[in-house]
Amino acid sequence: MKIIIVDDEMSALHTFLSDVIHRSDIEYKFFKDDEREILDYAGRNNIVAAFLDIRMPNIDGIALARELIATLPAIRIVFITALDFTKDDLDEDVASHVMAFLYKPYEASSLELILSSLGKDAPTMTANMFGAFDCFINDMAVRFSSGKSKELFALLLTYNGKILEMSDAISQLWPDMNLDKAKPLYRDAVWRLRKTLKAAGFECVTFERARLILNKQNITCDYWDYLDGAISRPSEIFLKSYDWAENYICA
Amino acid sequence: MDIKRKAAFLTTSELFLMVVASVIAAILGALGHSASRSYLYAVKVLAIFVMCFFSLIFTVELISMFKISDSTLHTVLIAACLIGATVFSPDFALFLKDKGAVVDERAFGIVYFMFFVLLTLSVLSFQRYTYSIRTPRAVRALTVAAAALCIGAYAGLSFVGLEPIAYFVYVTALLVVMSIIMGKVLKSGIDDPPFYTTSLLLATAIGSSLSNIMCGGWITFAPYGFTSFYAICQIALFALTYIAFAVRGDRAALKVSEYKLKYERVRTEALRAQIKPHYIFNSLAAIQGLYRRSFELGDRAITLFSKHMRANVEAGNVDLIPFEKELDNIQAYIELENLCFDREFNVIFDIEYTDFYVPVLSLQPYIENSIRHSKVNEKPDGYIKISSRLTKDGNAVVRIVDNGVGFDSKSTPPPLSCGIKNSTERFEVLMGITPVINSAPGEGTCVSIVITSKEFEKNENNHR
Repeated sequence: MKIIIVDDEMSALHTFLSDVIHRSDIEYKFFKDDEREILDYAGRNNIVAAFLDIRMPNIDGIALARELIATLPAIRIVFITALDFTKDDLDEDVASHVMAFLYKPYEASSLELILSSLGKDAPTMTANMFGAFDCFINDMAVRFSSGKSKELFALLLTYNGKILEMSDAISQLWPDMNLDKAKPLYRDAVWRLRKTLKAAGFECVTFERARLILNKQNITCDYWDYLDGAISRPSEIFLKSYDWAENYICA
Repeated sequence: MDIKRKAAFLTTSELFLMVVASVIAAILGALGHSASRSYLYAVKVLAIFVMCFFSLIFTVELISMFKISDSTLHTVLIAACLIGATVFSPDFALFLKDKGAVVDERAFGIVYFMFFVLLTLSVLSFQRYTYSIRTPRAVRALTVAAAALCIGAYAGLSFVGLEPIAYFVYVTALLVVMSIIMGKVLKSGIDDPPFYTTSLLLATAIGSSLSNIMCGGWITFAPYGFTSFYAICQIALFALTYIAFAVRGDRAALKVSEYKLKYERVRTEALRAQIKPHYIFNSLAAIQGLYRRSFELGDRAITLFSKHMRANVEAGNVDLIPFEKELDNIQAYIELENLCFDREFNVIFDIEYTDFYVPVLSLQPYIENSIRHSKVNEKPDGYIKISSRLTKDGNAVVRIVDNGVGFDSKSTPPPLSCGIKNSTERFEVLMGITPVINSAPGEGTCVSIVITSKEFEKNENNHR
C-alpha cells in the first residue's frame, strides 16, 4: 500500500512518522510543496491515502485534495492541521473522501489507528474476555478513560447483544450502592464509554435512555465463540477482575 | 421583566387619576359641542390638515413595518384605528351632511364603533406586549370574541335606536380591563413615556367617545351639530405617542450600541482571562518531567495540552459552542491537570442532555475553581460532578457540584476568579442568563446554569 505525506515543515514530521510507521506493507513517500511533482506521482502510482497539511505557503491542502480525488477517485484523505478544522469546513465532495483529521501535535496512537484501518472497509474489534479484560480495535488496545466504563463495556459484551437496562447494570457494577447514588456514576461510565468509542471510531453501542444495546457487527469475542461452541473453555478465569462475572461462568 | 411577579390591582389613587382623565376628556368634548359654528368650521379644516399629515406618517410607518419591530406594528394599528374612528365619527358624518353630502348615519355609527373597539384593543395589546404581561390564549380569544359581540350588538341595537346601551356596556368593560392592565404595569414601577401617553390616549378616546354618544343619545346638551374637538384631542395624543415611541426607539438603539461595546469587551477579556502565562509554563515544565518518565505519557500530555490551547484560541473566534464540545474541553483539561500535577480529581460526568450551546470555555473556569480551591482530592469520597438535564418545561440545566471545602458565596465581593467573572459576563451578554453560585464553608459548592429553551433555539439558528 502506498501513501503520500505532504507537509512543508518536514523534518519533525519525518522523524515522527518514520518512528511510527513500522508496517512493512506500507510504502510512504514525503513531499514538500511541489504540486506538480505530487500529482505526477499520483498519476503513476495507486496511492491509497494522502496525508495533507492544510495550510502551506505554496499550496492549499484542500485544493490539492480535490485534484488528487480527481486523479484517484478511491483515494482517502487525512488532513494534518494545527487549526481547529472539521469536516463541516469542507465541501461535500472532499469531505466524503476524508478519513480523519490529525491535529498537531499528534499522538502516535491516533496515527497508528488511521494506518491500521488503511485497506480495510471497516475497523474490527477483538475482545478478550478470559483472564484480564481487554479490547482491541484493529490490533490497537482501546484506552478507556475510567475503570467503570471499561467494566460496563465488558458487561455489554457479556450481554451478547441483549438490551442492558440501567437498573441491571447498576445492580451488577455497584452492588452495594443505592440506586440514586449509583445513577450519576452509571451515567458517567456511559458518557465515558461513548466518548472512548467515538474517539476510536468504533461506535458499536446504541445509547438510549436508561438502556444500552451492543451492535455485534465486526466484533470478535472469545466468550461468544465459547458460547457458540467454536472454542473449548479457556483455562483462564472469565473476566477475573469483575465480581459479577461469576454469575455467567463460574470459576 | 418583573411585571408578572409584581402584578396587582390598581391602587385607589391611580384609578382616581384615570377616571379624572376620562371625565376631563368627556367634559372637554361636551364643551366643544356647544362651540359656535364659524369657529367650528376653522377647527374642522385644521383637523383635516393635521389628519393628512398623520396619514403620511402612518403610510411611512406602514411601509417600514415589514422590517421593524412589533411595537411599530402596534403604533401603525393604533394610528390606523384613530384615523378610521375619526373619519367615521358622528362629527364627520354631520360635517359631510353640512356640506350637502348624503350620509348613512347608522352605517357611519357602526363603522365608527368598530374602529373604536379596534383602537382600544390595539392600545391594550400594545401595553400587554410591551410590558410583557402574559395573557393566556383563551383570554385573548375571549377578548376578540367579546369585541366582535359588542360590534354585533351595537349594529343590531342601532336599528332600534338603542346603540348607546351596547356602547356603555363596552366602555364599562373596557375601563375595567384597562384598570387591570394599567394597574399591573404601574405596580411594577414602570417609568415609561409611551405607557403614559398610550394610557392617556385610551382614556381620552373613551372619555370623548362617551361625550359623543351621550350627545347622540341626547343625554347631554348639544345645541347645534357635533364637534371635531375630540378628533383633535386624539390626533394630538397620537402625535405625543409617536414622539414617545421615537424617544423609546432611540433609547433602544442606545442600548444596542451599549450591548455591542460590552460584547466586544467581554470577548477580548475572554481571550485575556482564560489562559495564564504561568499556567502555560508550569504545564510545559510538567510535560518535560513526564517525558523523562515515558514517551507515551509525554505524548499524551502534549496532546491534551494542545487540545486545551486550541480551545483557548478558539475562544477568540467563536462565541458559542455545542455543550458536548465544551465537555470534551473540560475532560482534556482535567486529564491534563491530573497528569501534569500528579493529582487525582474524581470528576463525574452525569450527562443526560447535550443538545444546546454554551459560551466557549464558560464551564471550565468553574471546574478550575473546584480543582484549585475545593480540596476534593484530599477527601476519600471527594468529587466534582457535572450534570446536565432537560427539565419538563424544556430548559436545559447544567450543574457543577463539588463536595469540597466551599466558601461563603454570600460575602461581598465573593472570592471569585477572573475566569469565573468573565464566564458569568459572557453568559449574561451572549445568552441573557446568569449562573447561580451557592456555597458555604464546609458544604461544597454548587453552580447552576439554566438555559431556557428559547435561548437554545436562538443559538441553534446562529450556528446554522
